[in-house]
Amino acid sequence: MAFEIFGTQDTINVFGTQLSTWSLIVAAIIMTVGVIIAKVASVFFKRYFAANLEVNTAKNLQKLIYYGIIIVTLLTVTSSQGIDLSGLIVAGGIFGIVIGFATQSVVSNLISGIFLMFDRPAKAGDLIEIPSNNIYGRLIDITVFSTRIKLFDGSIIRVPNEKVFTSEIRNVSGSEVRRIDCTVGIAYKEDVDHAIQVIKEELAKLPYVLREPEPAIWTEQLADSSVNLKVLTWLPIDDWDEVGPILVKVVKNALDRAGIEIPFPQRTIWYGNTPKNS
Amino acid sequence: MKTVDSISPENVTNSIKIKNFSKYGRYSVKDDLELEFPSTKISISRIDNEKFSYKRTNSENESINKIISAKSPGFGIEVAPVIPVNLPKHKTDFLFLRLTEKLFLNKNSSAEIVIPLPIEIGVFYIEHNKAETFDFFTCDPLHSRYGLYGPPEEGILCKYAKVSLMNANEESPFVYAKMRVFVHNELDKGVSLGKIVFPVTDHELYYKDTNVLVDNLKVAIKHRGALELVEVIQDTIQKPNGWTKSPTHRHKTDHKFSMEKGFD
Repeated sequence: MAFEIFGTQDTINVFGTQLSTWSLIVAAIIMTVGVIIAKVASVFFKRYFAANLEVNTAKNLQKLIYYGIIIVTLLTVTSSQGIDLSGLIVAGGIFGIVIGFATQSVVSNLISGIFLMFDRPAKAGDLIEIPSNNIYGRLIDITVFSTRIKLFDGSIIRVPNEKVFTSEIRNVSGSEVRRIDCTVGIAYKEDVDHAIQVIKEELAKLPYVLREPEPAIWTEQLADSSVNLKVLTWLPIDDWDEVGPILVKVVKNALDRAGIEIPFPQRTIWYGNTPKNS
Repeated sequence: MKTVDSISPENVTNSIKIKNFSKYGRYSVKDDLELEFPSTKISISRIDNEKFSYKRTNSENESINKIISAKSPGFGIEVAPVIPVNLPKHKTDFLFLRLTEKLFLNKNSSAEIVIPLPIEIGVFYIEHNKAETFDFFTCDPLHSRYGLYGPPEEGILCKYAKVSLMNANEESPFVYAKMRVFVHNELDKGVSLGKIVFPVTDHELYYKDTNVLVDNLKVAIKHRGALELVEVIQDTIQKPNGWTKSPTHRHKTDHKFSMEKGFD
């Protein structure tokens, strides 16, 4: 066993090395100091240097600093206390296989996390969608084991990196603009070109609707009771809230003001006990 | 193609109906102040010893109210033309000018044109002779629009305006500044220039009363490898005597910008 607490009266066997209680205390102190230094260095970097770097780069560098110091401290502890890690390798064998099976998902998430950091399908702050998991929100961070996404209801969801890595990811913030669309039906008697003109003029009043590429409106379908027009507009990526919630209302109001009818299916109901001629 | 006379401050005349609109410049506010610009009114009034009320009514009859805390008995404001990147939100430093009529240039030829540069008006709080950004407005809300230069997947978001070539006598000092553009076609074929995209934050604006001047622009249509592109760079003008430089509050790029995604 790697740790034999009762190896002798006042020594402990760690990976085959006999360590005194005092050595262990020194090792624990060095490790604690190392963790504190790692934390301080990480916070110092975030406060004074991260602001000048791209968000994702800053986060990755911060993690590198933190875990780098931890690893250096761990190596310092083992070498200063004369712990021979080759014992661990020898002790591996079947024990390692057992641990491997037990931590399969942990290792998988770790490896996926490392790959995600290199692959960078999205960066912190991007709006992403993972369709297979029905997740849509703003990416907060990709950590070593999991990805944190802030949903629109304000809650934060933690998704294991393995799931993220093997899923399709839709990055909505991939470019500077995005498109939104809606469909509106007008009556068959109406002039389609006139309706398109009316909608275009109204969209031109919305400051966040891009002038180039200009809004596109076309006849999408000759439906059962209406001629359906498809309205597509482009807007700056972060300004969906300025247009998305009001687009349909703006189009409807414009058509109403122009006297263009928006038809809807109507049904006449005859009650069984009502004479038809009544 | 229109050619223009040189634009010196003496040549700048206000053919627009300026009526009794307020002038650009610094104002000292002791108690009350009222300023009027096309479609916009600003009124500042004292509330108590250390507070003033600021109210701006814009062209869409929307009212913007702020409280100004001023320790001294009064304070100063500066009303100045600024580059058009602040409204409705600051999202980009680039300006996309779409020419309503394309400019045709024969091979290896040059032209000098004047195009209107849409401007916004900034209200700055002055303390210890330093201007702090306070409010922005536009006398033509149609200029507060965005456009994309390039395809959606890799385009650059820009402020957008449709403009046509001007002549030397045209003026619209609260809406446009006249920008002189030197265009040179280095290609061995004729081309049409339909748009100009550039980092507008590199441009300085100067004002005097109601008149506005802006740095010039150099536009070179050239080859880079197999690509035909337009290189755009700001061309600084000398500040004329008696004119004031508008406060700058945006970072300058000071580099040549290449329009590599088309120019027709």
